[in-house]
Amino acid sequence: MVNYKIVITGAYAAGKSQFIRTVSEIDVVDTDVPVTHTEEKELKHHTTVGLDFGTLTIDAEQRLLLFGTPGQERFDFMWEILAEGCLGYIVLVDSCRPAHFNETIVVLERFAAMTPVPFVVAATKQDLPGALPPTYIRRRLGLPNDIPILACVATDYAAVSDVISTLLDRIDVLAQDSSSSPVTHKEHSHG
Amino acid sequence: MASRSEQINTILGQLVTNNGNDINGAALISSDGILISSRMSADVNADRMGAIAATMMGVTTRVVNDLKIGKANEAIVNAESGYLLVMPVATQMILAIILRQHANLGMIRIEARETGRAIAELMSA
Repeated sequence: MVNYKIVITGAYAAGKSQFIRTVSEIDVVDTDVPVTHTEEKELKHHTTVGLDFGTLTIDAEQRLLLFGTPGQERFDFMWEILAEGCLGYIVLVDSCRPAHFNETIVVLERFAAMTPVPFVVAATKQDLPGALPPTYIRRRLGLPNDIPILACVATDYAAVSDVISTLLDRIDVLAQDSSSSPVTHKEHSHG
Repeated sequence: MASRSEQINTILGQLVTNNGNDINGAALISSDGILISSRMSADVNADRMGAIAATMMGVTTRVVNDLKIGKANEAIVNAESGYLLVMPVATQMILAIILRQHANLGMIRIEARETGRAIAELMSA
């Protein structure tokens, strides 16, 4: 059995813990504590301070280990700890709170600086009234066109699986790209 | 000749059995939280254990760096009905040990360091 580490990240209250709970086969490790900060409490009552952890088996030989990060920037040291050795990551963004897109931009920038591995963005809460379309969110986040952004509902198994398989495809494609590096091509053309 | 993973499992097994009933489980984990080998009782999910221990070691490393008190040797959680001990071993690996309540913590810390050395030796061989 080969284990692949995937990180689920994003700003506060984007649905990261739920995303992992929806697909995990094991009881999810969570480190939820009650929210004490008044502004943060308006959004939800419990928050992750350490990590969320779940597993998802792909087939007989491969399994994903899903590591969810805390969302608040004051826990950014956990982002580094959890990102170590990951093969790819998923950035969740709350589609209903454009005022918080800047926090997502911070997450995107920090992860890009930490690790060069592939990532995808999932626009969550698409089932709620007032959810903005992924195309609009892409523009607001300044996301390049080659980075997928998917509509998602974190409680929906099919939607969450879809986001994860998009990331896995991307990891595969980029791995193939780098294995057929220009050096190898040159050697072939000369030979 | 036993494979490296079999040898690691033997080393962990020795650590557990040498200490009577004091150790409820031991695991070797990569620093990014992936389980390498474990001797855990059935009621503990070893994968979850790996993720938690690596996070604890990561936070510990972060704390000692911030406080400028050198390299982290180990972190111990003293809980109502047991202990968890995590320590960095070899290169980018973590040894996690779950102890029962009233275990001989001093003795096990010494044994854990020896286990760490044995694993480092095996990995560099």
